[in-house]
Amino acid sequence: MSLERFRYDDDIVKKFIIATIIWGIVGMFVGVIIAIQLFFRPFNFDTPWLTFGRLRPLHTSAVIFAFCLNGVFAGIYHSSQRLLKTRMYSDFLSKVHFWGWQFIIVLAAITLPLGLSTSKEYAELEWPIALLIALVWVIFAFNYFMTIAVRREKVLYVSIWFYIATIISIALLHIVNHISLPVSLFKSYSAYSGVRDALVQWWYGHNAVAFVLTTPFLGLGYYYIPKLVNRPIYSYRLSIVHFWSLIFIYMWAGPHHLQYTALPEWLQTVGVVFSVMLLAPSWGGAINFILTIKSAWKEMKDHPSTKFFFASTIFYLIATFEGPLLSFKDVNRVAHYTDWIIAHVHGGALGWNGYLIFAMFYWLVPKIYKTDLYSNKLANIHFWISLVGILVYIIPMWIAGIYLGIVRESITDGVLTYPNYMEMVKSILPYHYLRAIGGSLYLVGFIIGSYMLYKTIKKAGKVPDTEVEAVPFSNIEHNKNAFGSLQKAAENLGLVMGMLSLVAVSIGGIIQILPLLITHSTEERIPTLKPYSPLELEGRDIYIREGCNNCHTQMVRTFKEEVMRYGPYSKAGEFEYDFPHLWGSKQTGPDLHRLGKKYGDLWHYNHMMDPTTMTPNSTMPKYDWLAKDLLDTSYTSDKMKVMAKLGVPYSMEEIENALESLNKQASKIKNGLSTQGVNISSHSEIIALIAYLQRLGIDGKEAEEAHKEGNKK
Amino acid sequence: MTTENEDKNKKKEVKFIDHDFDGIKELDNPIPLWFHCLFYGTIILGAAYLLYYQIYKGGNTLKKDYLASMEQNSGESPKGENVPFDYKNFLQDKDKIKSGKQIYASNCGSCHGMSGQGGVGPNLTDDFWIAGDTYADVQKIIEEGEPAKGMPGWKSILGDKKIQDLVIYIASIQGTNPPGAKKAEGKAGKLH
Ligand code: HEC
Ligand code: HEC
Repeated sequence: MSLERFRYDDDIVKKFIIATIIWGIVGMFVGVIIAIQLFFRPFNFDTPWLTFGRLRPLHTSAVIFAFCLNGVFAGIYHSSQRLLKTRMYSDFLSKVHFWGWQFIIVLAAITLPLGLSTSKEYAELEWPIALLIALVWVIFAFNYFMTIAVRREKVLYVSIWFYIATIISIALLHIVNHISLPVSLFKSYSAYSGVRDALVQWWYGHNAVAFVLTTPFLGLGYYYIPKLVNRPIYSYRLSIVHFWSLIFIYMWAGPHHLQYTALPEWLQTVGVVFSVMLLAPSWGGAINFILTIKSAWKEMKDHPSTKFFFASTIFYLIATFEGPLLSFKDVNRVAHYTDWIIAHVHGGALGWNGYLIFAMFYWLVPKIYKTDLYSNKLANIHFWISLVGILVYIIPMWIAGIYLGIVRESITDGVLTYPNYMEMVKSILPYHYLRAIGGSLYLVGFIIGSYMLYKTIKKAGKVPDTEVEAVPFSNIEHNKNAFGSLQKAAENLGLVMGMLSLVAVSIGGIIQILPLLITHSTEERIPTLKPYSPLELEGRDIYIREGCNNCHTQMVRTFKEEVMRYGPYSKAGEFEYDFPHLWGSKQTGPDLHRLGKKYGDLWHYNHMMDPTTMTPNSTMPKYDWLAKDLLDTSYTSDKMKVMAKLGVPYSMEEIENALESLNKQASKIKNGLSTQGVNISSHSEIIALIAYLQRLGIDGKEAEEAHKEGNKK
Repeated sequence: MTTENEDKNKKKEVKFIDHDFDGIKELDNPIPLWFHCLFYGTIILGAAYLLYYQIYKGGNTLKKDYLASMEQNSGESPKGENVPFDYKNFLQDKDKIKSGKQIYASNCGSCHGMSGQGGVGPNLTDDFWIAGDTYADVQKIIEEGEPAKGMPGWKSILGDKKIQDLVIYIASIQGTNPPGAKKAEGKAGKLH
């Protein structure tokens, strides 16, 4: 049998490793800043682009798509070449992928602070960047599947299944969730509105967790853990069962982000059911990891990677238990919109993802640089500081979340015990101090680890790509299967595996989303519902630009205490013209859906100039520049045209007279304010924002009252 | 060290999968029993959950539960709703003034000033009233508000007792003439 000699492309792996470290530090640094802003307002230096609403999307995007995904790419490029016994199909495409991805991240880091955002969580980037992501992803996918095609290994190992499922599913999720109509280069509206947009968004959001933060990491674990401990994977059969059940079930669980909302209840219940069923498939992978590590614990416990892998798997176990728990209706009622969810995601992101990436790097970096780690001691220090950091982060957030979840529903003598929202927020601030400390500790650990890797790499100097020999594909003899012939057949053909994964992941989405997209029957139509006026529409876009939805929800949930606090619970029909929806997922401040006409314009003006004047101790940032900056109305009628295309009943006349109507409404608000002693231009942005805020939830409330009147008669 | 492990596995008669990937082997261990229990257990639990909410309780449980809880609520409210509260007897009640002051500080002070001197809302210490100068008028404006003018309604948020305490507190700060008092608004009249 003749052997072929070739080299793996290690250079691309090295590039991704360095990018991972740099973006990790940036993303977590931004995280620490916004954590501090939540209790210390001046930390945004009264600069628009440093405010919480704009930086929070930058933090989440940087950690998920820049840190985690670059780490995943490093591992995929390294392990896949070895598992497929071939160099990547095209070095050029690998480089395009690398530089394209870093370019996208830089664009994100520029546009998000500028307020160019779609408002959809973890999908905030505006359409030109979203298109670029799709393009780079397709290039990566093509290169990857071609690499599978030219491999010298007949059977595809578990890790490769996970990578394939990842590549296919992210493409699917990204494309479906980003369907939108552009208004200009920097502005677009989601093609879905209200309840449909929320459903698609959380199908995407939940499965971004699945296919960015879970499946690729399981794939990495399946390669790097047995390599590290030099032991076989505990059970091949378990890997098959948990792989297929995991990717199939995950796609159904999205609606658990929308419990007690206006989403049809059968979908909410189905969301719970599939979340519960996710427990076993998730734990299946974790147990395969732990039993594999355990088999070599004695010899390996001194290697830093072992500790990191072990702790990472434990955090995965915790997070995947917590997830199903949080989805139960009665638990969700308490936890939703609170810091408990923040604790949940950080247990996952810092514990599972962050630790796994470093577990991989501490083994991988010395391997491909053909040297030893610069210092095991520093790696251990990194481990322990970060561990303390994680605990000091998530435990206070658990407490704060559960506390708020309980007191906001607490009732004394038939009325809310804490009618004032800020009073409740004040009592959880100490936990936020701790969280900022915990986050900083994790960052310090991260920097120590990065420094150590830097030293390791520097020590190694220039290292050529690894050279290997392997039998060409055509000459491989392969024995008959050991388990399940269908599985084997699929493993033999990369594309077949891809197609099967696509089918498995599509079913959930199709069954949940399609019925809602094609029928409007689930919505109780609101007869009084009117489209936003041009001024209100502009105000809504300011709300989106400033990222108010990162602190405020617009979804009064279906229970008494929430109705007492805010007003009638939100109905699906009220959001028919909301392209995109702004339901939000976190209440750092109160819900705003029934805000319209609750206060006067002057109150809003004062509050936006400096919230503490209207609400003592408020932690909401100042937005005083909105009074100075003038509203850009050059796209107003274009925006209405796009809305009309999406199904909002604006007449041609209304679109043509948009500016006239806008100016009229603005002057009215301005005049009202000036009789109360505030003199600002009627073209200032704050006027539009006030118009929007005063409109919130009004139509639905009127319908409700009309209905009640009708009942009385 | 690998051989030692292999020996151990032979003893347990666990087979290796006949393949090796970049040096990684896989054992053919059976799927652990507990995994099956967990897997099928959660599926059964999930199915039961679905049946319970969608079939046994007939779906739409959130709205039903909500309506039930609201009904319970209205059942509790006392019959004699329209009997006016007799403020005169409580004007000196220290406890009520104290409680009213607290409620005022956290809900009203932002608009009416921490000592009632006025701000976004009118001065509450002077002898001028927009909404009327009787205790009942004041109670009514607090309950229902004047949303168009920027005064929220508080009835559902604070409830009857707290609003009574507020009225008593407001009565107690009449004529205090706090610093920074806002100019008079409304008709002249002493609160009574
Ligand atoms: C950092 C989180 C944060 C951001 C970002 C934020 N808010 Fe707030 N908001 C709060 C908090 C906390 C409160 C409660 C205290 C208060 O009333 O100021 C609040 C209260 C409010 C209220 C009063 C609600 C009520 O019913 O009393 C309004 C209105 C409001 N915010 C509007 C906005 C708008 C508009 C934006 C975006 C321009 C925004 N907020 C951005 C945290 C935030
Ligand atoms: C958002 C700001 C705001 C808050 C909060 C607020 N008020 Fe008012 N209040 C006003 C405004 C504005 C008016 C004037 C309404 C009018 O012109 O009819 C007013 C009017 C009143 C009046 C009638 C005054 C008169 O001259 O007749 C009373 C009494 C009053 N408020 C009590 C309260 C109490 C008690 C609270 C706390 C539970 C409260 N307000 C909270 C804004 C507010």
